Amino acid sequence: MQDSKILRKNRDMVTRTIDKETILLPIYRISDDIDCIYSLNKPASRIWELIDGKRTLFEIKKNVLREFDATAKEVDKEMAGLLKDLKEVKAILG
Amino acid sequence: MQNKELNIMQVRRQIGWIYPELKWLTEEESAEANEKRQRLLQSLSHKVTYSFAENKIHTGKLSPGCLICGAGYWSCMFINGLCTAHCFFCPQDRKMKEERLPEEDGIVFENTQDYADYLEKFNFKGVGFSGGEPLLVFDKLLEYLGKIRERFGDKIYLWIYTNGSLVNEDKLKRLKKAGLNEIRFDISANNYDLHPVELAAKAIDTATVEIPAIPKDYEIVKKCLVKLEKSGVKHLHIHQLNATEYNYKNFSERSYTFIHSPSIPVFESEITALKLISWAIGNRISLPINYCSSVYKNRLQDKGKRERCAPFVRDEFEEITRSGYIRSLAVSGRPENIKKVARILQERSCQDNLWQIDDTKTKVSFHSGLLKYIDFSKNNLTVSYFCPQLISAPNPGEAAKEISLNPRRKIFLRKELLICQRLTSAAAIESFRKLFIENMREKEARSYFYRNYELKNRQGLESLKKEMELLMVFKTWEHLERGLPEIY
Repeated sequence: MQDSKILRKNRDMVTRTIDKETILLPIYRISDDIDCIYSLNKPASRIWELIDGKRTLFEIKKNVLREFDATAKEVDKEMAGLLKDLKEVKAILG
Repeated sequence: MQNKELNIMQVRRQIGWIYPELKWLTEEESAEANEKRQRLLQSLSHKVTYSFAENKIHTGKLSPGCLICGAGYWSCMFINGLCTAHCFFCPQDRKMKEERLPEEDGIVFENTQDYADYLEKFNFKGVGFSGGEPLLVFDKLLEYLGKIRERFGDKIYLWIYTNGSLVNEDKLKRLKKAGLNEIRFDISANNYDLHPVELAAKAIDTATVEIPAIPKDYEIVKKCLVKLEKSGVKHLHIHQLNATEYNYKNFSERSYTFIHSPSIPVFESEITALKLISWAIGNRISLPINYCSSVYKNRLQDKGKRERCAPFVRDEFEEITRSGYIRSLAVSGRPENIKKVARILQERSCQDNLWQIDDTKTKVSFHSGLLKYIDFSKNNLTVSYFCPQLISAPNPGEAAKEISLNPRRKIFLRKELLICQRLTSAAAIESFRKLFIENMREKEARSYFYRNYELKNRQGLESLKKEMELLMVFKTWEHLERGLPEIY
């Protein structure tokens, strides 16, 4: 994960919030048959929120570290996993 | 349930006990099959034309008959059943011993007058005479050709299908005189003998070769292609093999693989057709080649049938979708609720013929143009699709509309209910309107739905998903699907 990297959200992803949980609803189809819905936990929701096409991954990480009771290692792990998943479903670009 | 699962289930149901006897693709084989076809299609891209919503792949011009077929104005008249050949791929019952009566779409036409009246009533622009081998009933064929030509003049295009075994110069002259425009030879049924084709190319305006794509004949067809180009033949049609109850055993003996699609097409046949087109392009064969896939036939030919029949049986408040089905919209509920909906439609001065309350006073059906007047925060929308079907006569007690062809002859049309489902959320109903009535792009309609669906809690996600699935299912009856479908 390059700290200087800037990611942006796929605009074809609708974000909704229910019960303080972020739900991602892709308006493109992953395959002909499958309509997928993705739900993000609290830290993941915050990371998603911070991805704005301007902030670097380093800045996002800094924010998360400040706001959550977690170590840098834990945040790195959480972010790496989340970004991999988001890329896989084409939710983020860049 | 997803589309793929639904299709597999439908095919299983359609062919019943035969299903386990046939070879189907495993998931892994299916991925390989799709990849193999994709590679072939990629090698053809920019070198072929895709017509009729990308359902037909061809090089050069399509024959007038194919254009008429694609536009939905083709009548295929099976003038007889007996044949001179015994092809392993024949989709019909070759054990038949007695000649049958002329038949189109399951309707028997014993005389030319009734058939001509039928062609006029349903606005056909072309007739293809098939069989059996139509030249076995040569006099009858001439009678039908003559009658239709006399009645419609140049406004109709006429062609026949033959294996060529009974073709001679005299017959060709008489066919031409009777008004035949095109003759199509299945040379695979006659040992790839090109002599009758060459004779026809001199006598009839358009001589065409129309063969099934038989994997083991690939090399033979390649050789024929070079000769056909010089013979005066104007088109080559290669069609995909389909399994029927009469040929599936022969196909299984040849280890063909079947695809889950309504007409049970053969995978290897599609690959053979695409390989032949690729070879022809690579070898600069200028003869126009048209691949007539099963999916084209299912989608375009059936759409044509539906579009011809639907106007006769739809109610005024119902509409015909872009794929030719009849769409019916309704609000159901308690009589007092239905009364309220009716009152609103009256207050808005909606035309009487565009809405109707049923006898039980629990349902009001209406034209999509009236959707905007109905308050869907309080009502659900019931969406139904029907397929119009031509029948000789209805079963006792069956509702069917009588169509008079002339004072002596009637045929009937019935509306078969395909699906009846309810959209419950205002967002889904508005998305339905945007997607299918306003023809908004799918992405935009999905975006609208996801942004506006009322989500109160996590449980609501399940309903949201279900409503979106339903909207996507409706696409089957609303839109004509594009391109070759996934193979599985």
